[in-house]
Amino acid sequence: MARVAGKVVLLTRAADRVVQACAQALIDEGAHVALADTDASKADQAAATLTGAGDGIISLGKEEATDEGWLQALAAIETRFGGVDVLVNGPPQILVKSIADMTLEDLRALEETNVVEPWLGLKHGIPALRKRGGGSIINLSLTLARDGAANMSGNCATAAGSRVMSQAAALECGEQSDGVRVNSILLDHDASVPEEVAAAVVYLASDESRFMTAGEIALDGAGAAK
Amino acid sequence: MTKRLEGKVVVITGGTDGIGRGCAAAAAREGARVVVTGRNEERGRATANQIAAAGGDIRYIRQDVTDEANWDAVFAEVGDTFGSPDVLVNNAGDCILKPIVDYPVDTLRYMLQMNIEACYMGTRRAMQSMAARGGGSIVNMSSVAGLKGGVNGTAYGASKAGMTLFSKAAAAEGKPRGIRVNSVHPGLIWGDGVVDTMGEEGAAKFRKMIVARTPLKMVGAPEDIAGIVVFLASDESAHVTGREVIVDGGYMAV
Repeated sequence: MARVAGKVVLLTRAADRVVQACAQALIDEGAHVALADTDASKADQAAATLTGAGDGIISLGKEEATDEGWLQALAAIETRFGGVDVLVNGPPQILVKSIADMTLEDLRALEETNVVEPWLGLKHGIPALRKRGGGSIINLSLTLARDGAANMSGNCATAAGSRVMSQAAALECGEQSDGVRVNSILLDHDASVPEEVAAAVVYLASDESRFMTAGEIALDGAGAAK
Repeated sequence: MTKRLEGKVVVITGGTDGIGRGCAAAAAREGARVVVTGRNEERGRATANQIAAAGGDIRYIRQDVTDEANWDAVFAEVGDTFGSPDVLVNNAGDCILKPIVDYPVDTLRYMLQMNIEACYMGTRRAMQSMAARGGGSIVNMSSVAGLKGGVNGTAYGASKAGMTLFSKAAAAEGKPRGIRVNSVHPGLIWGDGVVDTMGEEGAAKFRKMIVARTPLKMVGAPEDIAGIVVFLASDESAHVTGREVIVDGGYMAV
């Protein structure tokens, strides 16, 4: 039995290999997917690599980190599929640089992609999911949100931000009893296997996780070593 | 599509009702050969029959998880029936809640025995056989009570917190041998066990209090824990070890 049959899922950062693996796994389990990327041609390419979607897939260019970008993407999905049930906020950008070598511009760029963009996903995704009576938002963040690492300060700060803001959003949804769940998957910045991220995404997208919110699944195997 | 636990031998202690039974049914649906253990033979057989009737490959073996010799016997029987286990779910446990001033020390010892020692014996036994096979997955059923203190929960909380950190240490030891160990932390999962622990009236009151504090405004069902256990049992979670996974309707985040 398909685990996410008929659910409509929006995934951002379609050019990312991890996101493509998530989209394929969701399609395999019966979902319709919308792939968004700032570069529409990359979203198209990503869609073309996926199999078995039939007409249950669209790709779209989405302006990054703007209200308009999100509203347009969600409107396109509503037109095509009637609404959206699951939002997967694509993985953060990574910058490996010491604090000494980093510039303020470097930090600001990470803030835009890794905090502002998923924040807007929450801001606009939550009302969209509410229209369907609830749903699941899955934030792809990093284990660096909990465990600092050298030359990773910008990733640590922004991943921690996105992790905790997901929890805050989950609590706000709880206050409204709106049926929207928000959880994070924490990726290892250089070792997570796309198919394993996808497996966790399918679980959180499905009703199997209907009792899970404000939570997280860490996928790095380093928990024991720290 | 290949089933997610195809060919795996999965042993679930305390598998004759509640969360354990929910996990057993889900594992069987995903193609595992499942062994449920527990003290109550009647309930054990009924559970096995019910899951077998739905097409599951399942056996019941009687087990007292606090008896070390019994662990060897159970593993020997599992080995003879299905082969050596790929997955052990240390789910058996007990919960006795009372104010500390009224709590007998022997009851504390019983909590430690059920929730730490049983997990320790099972993990040790499983790690021996899994190491010989090149790996495996151990899932320890802890609780949100093992992460956060609660009224009347000194003994239960200590025992579940102990289990939680025990799991992390075991994960560190298991890592070079390909053995993963994780803990699952359910919030309030509704079942007969809650009423057994608190009485009908106490359970109803407790439920109301927890639901009010839970962002999703609900209690869970055993099936709500089965999903994460299947994930942790399967190769999908090949890179997850030493972690706590909380499935509690958001309770811990408040």
